[in-house]
Amino acid sequence: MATLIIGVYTIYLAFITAATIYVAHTLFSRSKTFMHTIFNGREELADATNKLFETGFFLFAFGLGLWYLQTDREVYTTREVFEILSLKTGGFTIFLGILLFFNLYLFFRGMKHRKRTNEIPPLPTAQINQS
Amino acid sequence: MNALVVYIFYIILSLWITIRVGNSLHKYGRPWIIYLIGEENLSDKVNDMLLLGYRLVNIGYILFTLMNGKPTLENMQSVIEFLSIKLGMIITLLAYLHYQNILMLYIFSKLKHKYKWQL
Repeated sequence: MATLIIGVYTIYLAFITAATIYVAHTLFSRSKTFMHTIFNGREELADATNKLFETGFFLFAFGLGLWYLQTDREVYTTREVFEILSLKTGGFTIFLGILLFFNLYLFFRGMKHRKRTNEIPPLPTAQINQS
Repeated sequence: MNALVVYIFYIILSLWITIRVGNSLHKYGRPWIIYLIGEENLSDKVNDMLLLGYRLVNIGYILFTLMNGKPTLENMQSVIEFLSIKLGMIITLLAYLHYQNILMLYIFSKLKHKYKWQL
């Protein structure tokens, strides 16, 4: 039936909008601390990088969410509405989780890099070459 | 539903998204360009040209792929599917280009840091 499938699409679109905004807000209000540690006092670079990653997250999540909307199944009963909705929203939520862990991996990589460069003092040969 | 109305709606919506995202990236990419080039005047010029190239590529893509897949657009369902899938493809393309740009910033700053390389 035509009205049921439009209801499914509307609920799915509302869900992906709410989920993306919630996850992005949670992740990128916390990640500022990471960025300030990674960039070690360079405020403008830290804030800009945080914003760039936020934009990337929004684009990727929204883009694939919208792309994933279409279904070939026929929807006639309330039971089928539930089945198709849980399939679609579940798939999108798993994708959001993977994207979240990918972003966390990038942050922890930066933290590791910062730690390593703080621990090892510059080699004396590099100073000789410079002077 | 009239296909022309859907097309115009689609073009306006995707142009709005592209231009808003471009302005945001232009604003927040500026500190990085200044960091890599080191000269503020030249950096702003480079940044403006990058924005222009971004707009040309993406607007061209939006118009070029308008009738891909031969959309029927005869009822509400096909209209929603058309808009959602097209916009999804465009936003995913923007995300791909954006992550590639972040990768390039990372590579350039590493080169600058490690080998004292200058743009």
